[in-house]
Amino acid sequence: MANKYVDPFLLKKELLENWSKYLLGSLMLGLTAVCSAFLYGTNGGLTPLLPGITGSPALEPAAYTLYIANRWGAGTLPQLGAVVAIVLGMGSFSLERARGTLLFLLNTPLTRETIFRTKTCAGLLLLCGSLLVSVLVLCLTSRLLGYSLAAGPFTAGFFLTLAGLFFIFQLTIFFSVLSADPVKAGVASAFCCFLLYSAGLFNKTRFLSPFYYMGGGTYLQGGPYPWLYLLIILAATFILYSLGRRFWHRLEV
Amino acid sequence: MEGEHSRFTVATAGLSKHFNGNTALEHLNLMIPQGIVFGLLGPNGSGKTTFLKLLMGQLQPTAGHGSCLGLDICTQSLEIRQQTTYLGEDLQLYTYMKVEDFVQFCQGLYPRWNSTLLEHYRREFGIPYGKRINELSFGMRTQLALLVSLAPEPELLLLDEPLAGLDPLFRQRFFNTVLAETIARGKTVIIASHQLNEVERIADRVAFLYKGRLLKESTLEELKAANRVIRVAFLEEPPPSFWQMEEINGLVRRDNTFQFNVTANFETVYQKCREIPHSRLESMSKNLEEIFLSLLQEKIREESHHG
Repeated sequence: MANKYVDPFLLKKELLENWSKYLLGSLMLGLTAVCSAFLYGTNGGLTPLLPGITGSPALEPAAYTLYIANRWGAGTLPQLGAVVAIVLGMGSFSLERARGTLLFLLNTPLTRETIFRTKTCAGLLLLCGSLLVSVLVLCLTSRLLGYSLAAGPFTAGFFLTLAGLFFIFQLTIFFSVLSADPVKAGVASAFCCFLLYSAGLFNKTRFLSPFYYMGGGTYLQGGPYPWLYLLIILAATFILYSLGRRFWHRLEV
Repeated sequence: MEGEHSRFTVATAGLSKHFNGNTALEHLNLMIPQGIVFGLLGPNGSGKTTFLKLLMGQLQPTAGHGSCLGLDICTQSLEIRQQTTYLGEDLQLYTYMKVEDFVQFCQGLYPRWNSTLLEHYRREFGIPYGKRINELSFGMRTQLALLVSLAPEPELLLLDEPLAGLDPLFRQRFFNTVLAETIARGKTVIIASHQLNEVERIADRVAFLYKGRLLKESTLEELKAANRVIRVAFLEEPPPSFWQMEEINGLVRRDNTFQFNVTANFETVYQKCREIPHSRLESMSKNLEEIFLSLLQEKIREESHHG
């Protein structure tokens, strides 16, 4: 009963507690995946982007992958995924404080480290779960409609989105540790996301925005894989994790 | 220090806790022996909850140190929480859970869990397994919290105003049965309360806290013996030397009837009263509330005297 990495009983409680958020998130992301697949073909503006493609753009895996990466991977998925990440993270710690159950949890034989890891792990599992469900739905819908995704480039782009959403989740966890009000934690995180998203809209500042790199649009259009962005966003996520952990250990209730 | 402290469930030396410059606990030296009910008494804001949270490792002391079950409260809080449970007045449970799920959740967190004991008290308290916690009354929720505090068979049970808002029947059953059985198993119970009459019935030792400071710590017997009251109707004025006795304080006079506290040497003072012609002479023991109030008044007088 030493310092466990994650506690299975607390993990189960966290997963059950957030199950409805997970279902809602998966449903929303899944629906956008279905809609994006169905809308392919109605968009005729892709051909100029694909000078190397000689066949019908509508049936080319590269064209479809690029379309999905732009429409869904770099558009709807990061935006809605950010909402899901915020909703999953905002109550992790602040809800325990708001409803007064934190003292109960802290008085059990669990270390603060185990509680922090378990709660973070539960949120990340649910976030990954929602994203994977939506990807599965996308693959299934694409197959049913006769389109195929270029697995390698799509996966490479998906990792960029995942890393960005991990960053947003960890940012929300940080605010959730700081605030005793889940709504305030959520609003603070959403405001930060708004600023980061806005930075992505302008040429001079878009390198600062994780939203700009999510989905791997630049990479799929022939640019280099944004390794630097990936490293920076992972480092920033780790820094936020460490900061949240530090404040959590110092929190007196 | 180690050997001395091992005889005590709790031992603190100069334990202090300040919050943003406000003193919650100041230089607390307390030794609580094993296997007793210890009453921690004091008005709201006297530092009772802070003390219990320091024992559980939820707060870090500003100064001083302490041990709980022979373990350091600063560095071994996990080991302490494996053998100690805490039940607070404002403790909230996961109300969306079913009772059964909540019990299972708690069972998974503790290294030791006595399911027989849990079932025994669950039946006695009449807590239904199938209901959600938010369907239970406030009293039942508190009983459920108590249930999961007892099931890990803690060496030390910390109760912070645990029964506030519960009906007198349950309170009586709790004190006469549950607490008695816990003590019989050799466990230690610290009960923080401002319900002095209740603590008086069950505590072996008590400590009075006021503004984070320890006013008095003693066994209940010693405390009562040192706080007796004499009420006497003298037929003639006692000699001035009588009132100069150090053991006498808190004199109240109405005509020829006098009432005063005797803080020590009760037999000697009583004998002196008998030697003076009187029409009526009686002695009484103060209850815990009266003792606390007189200690408090004395402290306030002392504070105002020092400016």
